[in-house]
Amino acid sequence: MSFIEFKNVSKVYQMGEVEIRALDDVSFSIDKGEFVIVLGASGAGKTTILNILGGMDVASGGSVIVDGKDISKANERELTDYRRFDIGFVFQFYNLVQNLTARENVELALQICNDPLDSRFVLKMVGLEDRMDNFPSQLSGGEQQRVAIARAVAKNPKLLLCDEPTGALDYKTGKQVLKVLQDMCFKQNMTVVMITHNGALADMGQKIIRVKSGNIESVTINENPKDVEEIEY
Amino acid sequence: MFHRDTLRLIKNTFNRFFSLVMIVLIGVAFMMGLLSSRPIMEQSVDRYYDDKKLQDFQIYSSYGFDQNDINAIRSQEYVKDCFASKMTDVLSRNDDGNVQVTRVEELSRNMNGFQLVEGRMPMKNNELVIVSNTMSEGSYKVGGKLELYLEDEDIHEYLRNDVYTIVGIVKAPGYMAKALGTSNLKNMELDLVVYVTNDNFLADYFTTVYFTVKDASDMESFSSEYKEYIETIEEDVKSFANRQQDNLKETLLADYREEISKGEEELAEKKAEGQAQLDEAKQELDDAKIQIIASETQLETMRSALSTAESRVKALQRQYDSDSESVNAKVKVIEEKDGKGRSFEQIFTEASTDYATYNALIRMKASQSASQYQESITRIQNENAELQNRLNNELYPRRDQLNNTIANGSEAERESAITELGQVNAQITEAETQIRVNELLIENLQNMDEQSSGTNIDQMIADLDNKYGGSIETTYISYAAVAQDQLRLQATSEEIRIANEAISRVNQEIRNAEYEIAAGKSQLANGEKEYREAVITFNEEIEKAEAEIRKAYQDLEELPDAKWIILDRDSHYSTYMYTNNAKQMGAIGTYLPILFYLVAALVCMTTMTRLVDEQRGQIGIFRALGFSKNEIISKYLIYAVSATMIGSVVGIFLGMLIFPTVIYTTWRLMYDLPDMLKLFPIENVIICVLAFTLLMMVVTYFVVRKSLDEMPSQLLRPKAPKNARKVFLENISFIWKKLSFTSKITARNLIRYKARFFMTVIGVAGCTGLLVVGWGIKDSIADVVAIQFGEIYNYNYVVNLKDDHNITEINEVLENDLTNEYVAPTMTYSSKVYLDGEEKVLSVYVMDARKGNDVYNLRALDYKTPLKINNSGVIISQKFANVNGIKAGDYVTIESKNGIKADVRVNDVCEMYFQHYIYMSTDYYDEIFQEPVHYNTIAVKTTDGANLEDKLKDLEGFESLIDFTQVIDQFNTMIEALDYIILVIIITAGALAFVVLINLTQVNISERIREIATLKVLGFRNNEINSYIFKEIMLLSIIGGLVGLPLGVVEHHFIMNVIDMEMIKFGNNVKVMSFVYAYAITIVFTLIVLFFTRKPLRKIEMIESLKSVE
Repeated sequence: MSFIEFKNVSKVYQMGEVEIRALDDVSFSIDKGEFVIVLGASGAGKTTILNILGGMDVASGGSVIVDGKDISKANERELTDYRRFDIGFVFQFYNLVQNLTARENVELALQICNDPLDSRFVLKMVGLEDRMDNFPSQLSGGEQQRVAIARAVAKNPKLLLCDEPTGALDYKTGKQVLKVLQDMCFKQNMTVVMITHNGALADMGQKIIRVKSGNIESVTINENPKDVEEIEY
Repeated sequence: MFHRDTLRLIKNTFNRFFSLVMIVLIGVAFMMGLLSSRPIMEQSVDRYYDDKKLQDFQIYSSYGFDQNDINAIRSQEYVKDCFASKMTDVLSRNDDGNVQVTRVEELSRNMNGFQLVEGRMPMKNNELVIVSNTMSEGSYKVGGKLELYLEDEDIHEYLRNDVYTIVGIVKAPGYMAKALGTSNLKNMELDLVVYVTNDNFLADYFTTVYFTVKDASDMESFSSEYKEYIETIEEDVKSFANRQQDNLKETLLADYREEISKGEEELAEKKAEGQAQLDEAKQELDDAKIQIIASETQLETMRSALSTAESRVKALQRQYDSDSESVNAKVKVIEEKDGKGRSFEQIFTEASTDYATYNALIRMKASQSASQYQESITRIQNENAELQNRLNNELYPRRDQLNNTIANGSEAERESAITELGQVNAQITEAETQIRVNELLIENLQNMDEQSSGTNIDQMIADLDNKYGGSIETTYISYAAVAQDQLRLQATSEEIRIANEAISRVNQEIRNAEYEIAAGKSQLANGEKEYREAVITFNEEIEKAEAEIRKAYQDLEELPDAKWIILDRDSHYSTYMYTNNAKQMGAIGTYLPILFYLVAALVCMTTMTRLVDEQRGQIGIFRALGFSKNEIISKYLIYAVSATMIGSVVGIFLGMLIFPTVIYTTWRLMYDLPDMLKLFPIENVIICVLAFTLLMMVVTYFVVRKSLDEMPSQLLRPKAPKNARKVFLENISFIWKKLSFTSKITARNLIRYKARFFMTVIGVAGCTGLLVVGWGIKDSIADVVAIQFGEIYNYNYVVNLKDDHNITEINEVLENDLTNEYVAPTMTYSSKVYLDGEEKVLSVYVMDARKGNDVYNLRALDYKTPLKINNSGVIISQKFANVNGIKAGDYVTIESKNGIKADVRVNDVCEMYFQHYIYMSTDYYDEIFQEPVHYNTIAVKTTDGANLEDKLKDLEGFESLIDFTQVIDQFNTMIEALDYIILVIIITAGALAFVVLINLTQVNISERIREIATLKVLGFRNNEINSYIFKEIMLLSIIGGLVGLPLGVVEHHFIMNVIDMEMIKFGNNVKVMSFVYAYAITIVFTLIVLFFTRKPLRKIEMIESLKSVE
């Protein structure tokens, strides 16, 4: 059995009279330590997958099994625990707490989980050991995103979810961030799921799940993921 | 299009809009309510004055007015209505025996009307109505009786009746204040005001004149317009009055001098006359004393004479007893010898006869002739006639005379009379016997004449000798001696009897004399007591009369120019006080809303800043589309102004609904006010609306303007977050490291958002401050009662005395009762105090220093150091000293009970809350005024108050008993009315706190939605997220509350100064518990706000964290 099993998952939003099927019978699986890219255009359903996988939303049907636990049946409290202990989340817009320094933003996450990594170590890992005591407003976008990654990683999660992590970044800094993510997976053996609409990034993943109109278009296994340095987008 | 956008903006940001509305609403309500209180207070009363045609002027003259004066006043062109009254001040006693200083006013037809509260107006001249606020509850009711009297004068010199029926209760505009000022009776405080019909007054002059001024009723009585107008009129009245009174002064001075000299003459006369009477009485008493001493000496003489007489009687009795024994023995021998059972008297009678016969026979034997017989018979017959004659003419009358003497004569006369009587009786017996013998002889001689034989005579002589054992002569002589003895005995017995009679008579006389002496003595004692009392009364009267004359001299020296005292409305105690109170309300209304105004500005600033921040992108789009800055600003101005308008309209109505009513009701505790006028002061509406609208517009303008200064392109991008800054706490790393991230965020936020910090702190501080004020007002007023009656006064009853004549007994009764801890006889009276150009009145308490210090725990102004009444000066109460700038060591001029002026040294100033007092020791009073102290009350501290009245009521001189516990109860009931104010304050404070806190939470949440969503995504639990928001609010509340406590103290001082009253010193202390309440309620308000914040926090969706930054 795979680390993550998405089985026949569907998600229906009721918008007044209209019923919108954001996901329709979606199934895929992810192995531990895999770098997965979820690829799709806007509105394809990739964010819904992310939400469900991140414990921020529940599926209307089907089951989502993460490390043996079915989170599709979990209640609010269990979902909170799931997010708290099992998930690391990297946002498109970093979502750092403006009032806390880089290090404090990391520690903020450490405060709530059981087996955290050392904040200094994590920040060093993302190459920010010199900027630890700066506030987010004093950091560039790439640096902020790396802090966000450090924050997510420091929790020592089972799964690192990234939502368009380079969406707000320029090419160069975007690459730096992607490099960090890839390192997390390949060097630290962390399971990473990254959502993006940028097809050019597909090559850096080990598994590419293409989503279109609430359905899985294809699941491709990439035996030789490219190093970020080699990717052009 | 643009306006639709504004409407939509309001709809989308309704919470924020609503908080703007609310802060304006509260601010406007508070401002409007407080600002309007003054015009409402003033105009309600002005309307009342106008309705009842209260005088604009009142004129007093110390010498009264006659009809000419009245006509002159009436003829002045500015006088509208004029009313001359013979109003007078008297004492009254109600059905319960309660005595009050009472002003009897005259009903007027055309002015100074009043409002009937109960009953009806008086129609007969023995009916009256009472002014309601002047009477103590319950003691006076319609149908009850009121007796009016004067202490020194006959009430009928002033009023037709002395007992009146209370037929109604009224409110009078002239007597609105509960404190009425001073009466004309020896400076006593006025307690009660009644109105009677005008045919009641008997005085031939008017005491006061009231008049209204033309056109004045059109002006508002408290306005400067009215005051200026009245001042000009007052000038006219004064110059007119000067003309009237110029002539008067000389006449008066002369009258006054004459009165004094007459008084002096009278006094001298009275003194001389009284002294003469006293001397005469004294002389009589001395005479009586001498008389008694004389009687006692005489009594002694009588007693010694009596004992002499008694011993003499005893001697006589002894002699009589022995004599009678020997005589009786002789008699017995004779009787036995006779042997015929005859008594000695019979024997002696026969022997006497026989002896006479024997003698006759002897004589006859010598003559022996018949002729001689005849001759003898004739001679004997002559002899008998002679004897008889002697008896009748000499002896019998002498005997009677002697008997009479013995019965009535003096001691000496009796003595000799008794002796003589014995002799006389013997002579009588002898004479009577001789007469019988002679008769017998005559018979024998006649027989012998016929027989004519000489032998017969010898025979007869021999027979007689034989009959008596040989010699008749010897026998007879022995018999006669015995008879003589018997007579002597009889005389002795008689003497004893008479002496005994005399003794018993003397005894009676002694008893009479003794009784008379006793009676005389008791009469003397009474006489002496009367004399002493008369001396006391005399001295008192003289003392009083002398004091009066001394006072009269003093008065004469300072004889006021025969002045008309012209009083406008403000010169009247109640109007004056009320005017000030209304002004002070105005001051409160001006200053207190500043707080709300400030908070409103801060709320507006925070809200608009946040709104503009959120709208940033949109503003950028509009700017990019080519809208001008002003167009964009106008959108936000409309937003702010519409919130202001809605808030203002609702606030004005709410404010007008709540505050004036509450404030007016509170003032009613102190004034007998008419019904509140429902005013809507449009100028205040304009002020409030303008003030708030301008404020909101200016704040909004500057906030929006600041954003617009950026270029549109910048606007389209997210606003650079405000730089976070390190706080000083971070330097102390061991603390900082231990803080949770929420604490760190909170610490940094407090520094970062200053407007929000100040808004919240000031708002919450305002809330706490208001609560402190609310409870503080109650504390201050409640304190007054608790401290005055519980701490300063160490007595709970006061015994009022009619006079001090029986004070010793009453005092003893009280002292001997073990339930009474302290008993202090006190002289109380009102005295004028002569200050620079001013006269004020206070109460003087004079008592023995030691006892005074028992019943008063006087303290210095630090409320700790005890002060003692001593003989070196007086202690004066705080409020009076402060108001008039009197310090320890100063000298002030006051009056004695009899009105003599003197300077007293102020030793100390003491803590005191009600009224004004001077405390003085009896010795000091004596020294300063040279006047004895006459106690008229006794202060008693007792544990058995319930029975005190029973113990005292039958004692002479007792008048009434005041129970201080009841006074305290009454006051406490009054204070409970203040709870209403506290409730309003809590509501206002709560509203303020809610608006500020809700605004803060809204702004904080809306600003941090992204962060909160992120935290949720990171797996933070609900309570962790709550604390992220709550900590900051809680901390601000705690700081705000702490700031609010001192702020409340300041506000409290301010308000207490405003409601400061002449006669009452309110406490300045706010109790610890009040701070606790204020703080606790503030925190509770915060917790309520936080409780309701939980739901919106939970509702924040995690999806928000994925959205792009605007």
